[in-house]
Amino acid sequence: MQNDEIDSSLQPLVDRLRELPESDPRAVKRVLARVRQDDGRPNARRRALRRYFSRRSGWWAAAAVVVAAAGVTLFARAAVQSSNYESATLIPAVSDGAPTPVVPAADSDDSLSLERLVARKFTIESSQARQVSLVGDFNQWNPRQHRLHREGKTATWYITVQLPAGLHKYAFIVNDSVWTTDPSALRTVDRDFGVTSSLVLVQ
Amino acid sequence: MRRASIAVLLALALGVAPPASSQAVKLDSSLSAALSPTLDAARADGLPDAPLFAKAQEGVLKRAPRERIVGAVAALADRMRAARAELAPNATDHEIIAGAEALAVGVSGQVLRTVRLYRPRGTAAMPLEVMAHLAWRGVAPVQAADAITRAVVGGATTAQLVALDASVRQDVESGVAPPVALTSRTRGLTLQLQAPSNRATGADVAPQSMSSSPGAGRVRPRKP
Repeated sequence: MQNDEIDSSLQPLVDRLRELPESDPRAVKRVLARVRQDDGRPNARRRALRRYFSRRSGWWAAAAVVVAAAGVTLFARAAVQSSNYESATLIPAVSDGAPTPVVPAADSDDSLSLERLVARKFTIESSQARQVSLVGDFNQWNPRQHRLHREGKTATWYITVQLPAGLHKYAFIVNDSVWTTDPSALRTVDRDFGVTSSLVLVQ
Repeated sequence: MRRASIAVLLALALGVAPPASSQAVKLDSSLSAALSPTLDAARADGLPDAPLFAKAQEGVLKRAPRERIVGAVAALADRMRAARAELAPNATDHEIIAGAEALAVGVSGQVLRTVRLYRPRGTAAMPLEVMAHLAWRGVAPVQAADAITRAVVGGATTAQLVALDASVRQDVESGVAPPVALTSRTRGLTLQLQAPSNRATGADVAPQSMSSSPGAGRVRPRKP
């Protein structure tokens, strides 16, 4: 509420309430003395932590720290390992009679074969969409799990999902009803149900 | 203090746990009952049931009739059983799923056995998935299987197989026919594998036991 909106009869009461109470000079002195004392003891914080963790309840906090650290580590691993299909090294093409190309050495590490999560961004353009979902074998074809976000007021919808490395079938569902394949991806005709899906090889 | 610690743990748990909406959509009771024998048999055989549930959910989402969903789930379970047998003795769930997909696009069981020979547990999935991906791109399954099998036998890493797939995609997008693109890129990969540096570094994986595969006589696994 603004001052000019306050009834003039209430103004004296408001002014009175806004006045700061007088502080006790002895209390201020005690606080300042304690602050100076702590400044001179660099290990005070460490001792406080030790006291904290020595208590029985401290184990709960320690467990919480471990859980949080594990979560952060997992997230960081996934982020570090994230890559996309477009970034893959290409193999030189060799046709009949062509000179031998200079080829890069193969890596001896087969880390790509490990079971891991890879960040993959899905986008679709749809000016008619009010809501877009991503469905696929990676989310049990559940349209409620991965809702795409609209990029500002544009027609672009996007979502980044952590997927297990491998081959995945997916599709978009626009406005909870329209089955839509990804125009930028390979399409597969589903032999089981006869509906076309998109295909992505995540690595 | 203890209360505060518990509150922190609860908050963390809430932050880590998936939201309720991320749980899979439930199958209706009649479909669940119809699927029950297939799912029970799969579990009894030690097959992963998540792909089977996913297949059922896919059918529901695509509004397929119940009989068709049940048939598709049963067919997938059969392919997974076959894939596990070909990738014996110790296929991972991921390999079983990849093998089932490869079989679905027309790759033969012999190819799965060959890949198993040269790829230890946990590393056979991606070659099979690249085969399936190439087949979906328009390469004949036999050609895709032959190219990838040769590459695996030649010691190609997973990164190289993925690069091969990406290269083919690039060619196809620029107008090259998929079989032609795969042929030329496979030659490039072969040269890459024959380069001295690759011979020096050797294989990224060790061959599997010969005794586990009936296809052992057709290919020679690399020396470890």
